[in-house]
Amino acid sequence: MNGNKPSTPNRNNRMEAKQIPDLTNALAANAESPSAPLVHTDEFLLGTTEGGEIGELGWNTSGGTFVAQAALVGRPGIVRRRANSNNTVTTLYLCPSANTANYHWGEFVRQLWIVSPLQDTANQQIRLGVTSAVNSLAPARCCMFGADQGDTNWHVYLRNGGLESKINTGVPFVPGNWYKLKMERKEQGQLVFSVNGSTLEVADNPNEPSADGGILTGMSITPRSGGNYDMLLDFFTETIQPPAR
Amino acid sequence: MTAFEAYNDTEAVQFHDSLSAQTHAAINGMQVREITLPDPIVELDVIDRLESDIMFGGVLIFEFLADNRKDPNVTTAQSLDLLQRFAPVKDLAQLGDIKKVYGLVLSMPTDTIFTEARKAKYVGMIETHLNIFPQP
Repeated sequence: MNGNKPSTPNRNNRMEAKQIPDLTNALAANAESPSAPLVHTDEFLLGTTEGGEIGELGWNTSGGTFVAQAALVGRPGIVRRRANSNNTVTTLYLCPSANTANYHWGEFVRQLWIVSPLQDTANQQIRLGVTSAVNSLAPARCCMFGADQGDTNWHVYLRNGGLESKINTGVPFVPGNWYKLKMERKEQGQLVFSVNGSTLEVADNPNEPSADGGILTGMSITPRSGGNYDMLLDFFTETIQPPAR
Repeated sequence: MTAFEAYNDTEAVQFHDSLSAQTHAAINGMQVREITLPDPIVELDVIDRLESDIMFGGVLIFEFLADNRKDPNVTTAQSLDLLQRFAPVKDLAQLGDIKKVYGLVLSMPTDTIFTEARKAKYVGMIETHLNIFPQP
């Protein structure tokens, strides 16, 4: 599980502390038996603005537009996801179909999004994370960050069997701010969420997805009225740990 | 479908039964309220699902045509133009391929005749139909 974990940083050597995690062992293990952690990372530096070619990972889309965004210092590769149709769940996702799951909640380890919403929540709904159907705001199951109309804070959404738990993170949702949204499944029944370092632990929630429940990775913006709603995407990474096979 | 929600200022947790909600609320210092969930997800075999999709496709086509006729401002030329734009949707709807219909409707540009409100109405209908079924 920790095959890609960086070695303990040497505090006297800042270069070492900044090194990218060495995936050599994980990749070698995958060549023998594809069960080592899978790490997907996207700087949104490459690719085009067409569905299936967005970012290094080739994100798929439905609805809305993509606009190239001038880089900010320290944030190489930013794209602007724009939703422009009221009541349309405008999506971005990492698989061929917006509602066909391609792995299971029991294999999810952690995920990090670095994003900046550009408008308040008065007339939009936002979701980022894993779900059984990224094109639905009421999927069979999900584990997502987000906010609904009028929410002033980031929330966590857990769904299983059509039932939902909505948990307030206590971190304000401020348009234009950058947010590091991190979720981690330590084990079934033990989840840790973090928004810009403010941590929320969720234990034994009755609506956490079942371990054998299918999920996919994605995000959505759903305008409810008014014009365009944008989200700047700076960085994404996730780790998936399949069982031995 | 009725469900029960244990809630406080920071959290809301839904349960199918009142007893579970009451128990969770008592342990966590929450209150309980009755809520209404969307229609339950149903399991259909392949043939039943196809029948359901084709029936829904017919409903969608009917709704689209009815909206055209209800709008007194639509000229014959505009109606023909819109019907041509709708033709690919109609073809797939008749075949029951509602997932592809969903993508096509999402990508249809709006104008003064095919308004945002009309588009939102059809998108909502399709999402409601697709969400009836369990997601794989």
